[in-house]
Amino acid sequence: MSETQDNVLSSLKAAANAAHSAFLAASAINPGKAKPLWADSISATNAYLTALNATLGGDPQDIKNARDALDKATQRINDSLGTLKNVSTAIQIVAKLIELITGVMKFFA
Amino acid sequence: MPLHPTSLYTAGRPSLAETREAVIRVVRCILVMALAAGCASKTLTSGAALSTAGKVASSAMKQAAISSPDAIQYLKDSDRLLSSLYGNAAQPQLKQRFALMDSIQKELSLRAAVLESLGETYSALLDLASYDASAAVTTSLTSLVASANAYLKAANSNPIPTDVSGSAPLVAGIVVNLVQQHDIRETSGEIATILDAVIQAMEKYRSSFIGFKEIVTSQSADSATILFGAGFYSVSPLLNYYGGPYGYVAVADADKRIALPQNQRFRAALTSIGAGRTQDRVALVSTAYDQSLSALRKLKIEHEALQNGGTLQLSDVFAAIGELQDTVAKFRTAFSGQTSAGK
Repeated sequence: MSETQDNVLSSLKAAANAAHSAFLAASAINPGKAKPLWADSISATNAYLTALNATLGGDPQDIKNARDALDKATQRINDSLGTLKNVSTAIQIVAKLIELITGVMKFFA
Repeated sequence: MPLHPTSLYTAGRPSLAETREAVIRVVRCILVMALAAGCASKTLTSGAALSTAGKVASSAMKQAAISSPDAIQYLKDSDRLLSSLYGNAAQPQLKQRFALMDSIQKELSLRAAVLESLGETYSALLDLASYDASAAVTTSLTSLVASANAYLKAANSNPIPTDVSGSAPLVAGIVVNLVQQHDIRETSGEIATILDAVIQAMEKYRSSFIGFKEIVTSQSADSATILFGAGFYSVSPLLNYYGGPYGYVAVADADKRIALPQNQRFRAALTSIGAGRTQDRVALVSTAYDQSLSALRKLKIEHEALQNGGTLQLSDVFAAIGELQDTVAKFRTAFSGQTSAGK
């Protein structure tokens, strides 16, 4: 977001807050006066939300890139762990196979 | 006819001197690798600790950045109540407001999803750092040697020499450990680079995240404030909050007393407490967000240290994350006796 956009948003947010505070103050003292101030508060907040929504439009490429990088890192880590586990699993399988062969040998001896 | 295995030594059993020499060479090799593996076990421990910290930080940051769906719904319900009270002139604007809120929440959630991905990466790294590859391989090889010797005995052959059968599982365990620590260090470096990108993105969207959440937080309290001011809530809990430490209890007819014309100023004063607490809660939004960024920056530094084999300052990371968790917890329970809605 550019500095200008930031400044515009800050101003709009300040205006929304001021309108909102005016409405709340009026609702405590004079509910009759609060009615138009409620509409003002909604309008001012909508102006801020509209501007904010506009800055957020479009696909955030930086977020997409970061997520892609994280997904790849996660996959690589899972692959590393998988490889380490496969090493001991493979050795166990060979050990079991030799046990099996030994058992068969003894049977036929 | 029994199978005859190929012997390791082509010309019968080795001499005593040859065996002793082989054992000395193997022991030297093991000592060097054991020293390296000793450093590696710190890598695994540090990797596990960083992963745990990272998981907590990414989850806490997401809570700090985004309003929950319940909070958005609560605000909409509050708006509907106020719209009924203060006239339907603002109906088209209210419809626009709800549409904008939904759109902004969706866009911010899309951006906050990077924190979920970060959490998943940390979960994977925790699994890798927590896995005792060395023990698994050592145990497997010890079983293999035992099976092989049982086979050799059944085949009336010499067993595997003890200098090999004793040291091979140990050496293999050390080698696997070194491979594991290398993977963790490399991954740590990768995560440090990605964290840089995540931090930059979260800095870029800071005012959007904070701005929206502040609006949701400050305006959510409107219905409750107005209903309290109109006398629909008991003042006793607040009175007891003030008086409790001194042994005072609100009288049974406190709500009747506060409604008397001469006590209007007391009602107004008690109503202002809610407004003040709401402002405290609003202030926590930016505090939590900035503490999240600080935690991510500290994590990045520690990942770089882990990659380079430097000393880690994990206490700094844990302190930063502890602060963040405290702030997030304070935000969720900013009012004593607050319900789960409006978080």
